[in-house]
Amino acid sequence: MPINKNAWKRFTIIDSLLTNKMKPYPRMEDIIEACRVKHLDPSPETIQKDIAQMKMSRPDGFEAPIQFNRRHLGYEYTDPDYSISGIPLTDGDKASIQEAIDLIRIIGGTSISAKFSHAMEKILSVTLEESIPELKKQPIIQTMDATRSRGYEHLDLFYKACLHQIPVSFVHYSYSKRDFSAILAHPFLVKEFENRWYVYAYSEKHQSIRTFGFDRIYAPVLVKGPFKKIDLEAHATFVNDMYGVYPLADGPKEHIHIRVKYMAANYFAANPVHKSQVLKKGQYGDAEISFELIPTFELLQLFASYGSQIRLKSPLWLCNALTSYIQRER
Amino acid sequence: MSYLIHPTLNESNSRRNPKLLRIFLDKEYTRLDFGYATHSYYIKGGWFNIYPQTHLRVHGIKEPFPLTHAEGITFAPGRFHFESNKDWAYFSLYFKAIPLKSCVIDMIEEEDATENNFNYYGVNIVLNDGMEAVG
Repeated sequence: MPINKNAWKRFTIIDSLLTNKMKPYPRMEDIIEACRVKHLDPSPETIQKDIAQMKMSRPDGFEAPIQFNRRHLGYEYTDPDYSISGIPLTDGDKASIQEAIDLIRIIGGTSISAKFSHAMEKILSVTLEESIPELKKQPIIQTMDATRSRGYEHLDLFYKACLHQIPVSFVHYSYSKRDFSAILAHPFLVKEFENRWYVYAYSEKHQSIRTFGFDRIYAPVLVKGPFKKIDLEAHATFVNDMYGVYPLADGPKEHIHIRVKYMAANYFAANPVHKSQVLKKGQYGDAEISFELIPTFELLQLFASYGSQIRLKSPLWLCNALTSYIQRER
Repeated sequence: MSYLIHPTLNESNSRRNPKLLRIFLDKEYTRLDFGYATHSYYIKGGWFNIYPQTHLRVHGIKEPFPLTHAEGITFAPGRFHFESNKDWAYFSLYFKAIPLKSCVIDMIEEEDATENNFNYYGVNIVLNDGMEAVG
């Protein structure tokens, strides 16, 4: 349940009164007066609702042990050590969290980012005496404003499936075969590459680990049943040895050698393709570059995009694959 | 609670396109999921639709199970026109719920079917092969 900024502010006021050992058992009038000092003017009903919400279980409330003490005719925490702002944050912490929220909003759009923002705002609101003014500033970090790709809405479901190891049934459309199939998958990794989202999963139909683009997935459904566990460590190595997501063959990583002209050399030097990249510059700015990578379709596309700036020298089979790819694309 | 089945089809008497992909068995409805890829011999891929009188026939039960609604496909006489002969569509048809038990069903769009009708015969539903959908 979203909580507005004024409500957060009142919660912190109520909390500060309830934790004030010098003046225990604040009454309704005391709370309203303290709110007025902070330029808020709530009614008694609003404060009662706030207290009720603070008592609610998480994530809607704080499970605050508030009760009305009939003997003292005021409110109290039944746990004298309780406070909704248990861990104090420094100004630096608060600024860092705010920056993180801004960044997550840029990436945002999923319920994961919404939950994260909500949780972080909750932390901020209970630690700030004055709430941060509404951000009407111009953004000072700008990323490529990526349009939502088809299938992006599956992110939450596959994230949950990977996290809790739940099999997923979905319909898959193959662009190359122009054919549909029903897949029962055991997903273990969600990967983003160039704003396209993929899930790695053991496919019962293929009896092997496969990569499925979200854009080709329809109506995924979580299903009950035994989950096929994957050796994640071994597979993490496999995934990390790739540029992109679709390997061209089932083999291990290979030594890939390219020769590039000076213009392309500058780009490769500035933006290494992979951590295994080794670049040796020649006297005219050209370069010999090598990688230890599992050749992928995306690597082929990258090489092709440089046109005559690049010459693939080895392995031979990849040179042939690049030639065929370029001829096909003409 | 829904049971989900990836049916195995008798290729000889079933349409390949649209392809029957999944069957959901629920107390409230029975849902059939299909995938359709357009043909290259139609200009811009042609069009498709589904007759409202489409129904399921459960072998051994006389009464048909009518189509209640559809997602991703247009009811006839309306037509959904594709834009190219490389297009595709995923669609679901919802029917009155069939009994939650193993059975054999037919999906009938038109009793006197032509090659253009979406009729499927002898779809074997084995409840033990079903998976329980979560949530």
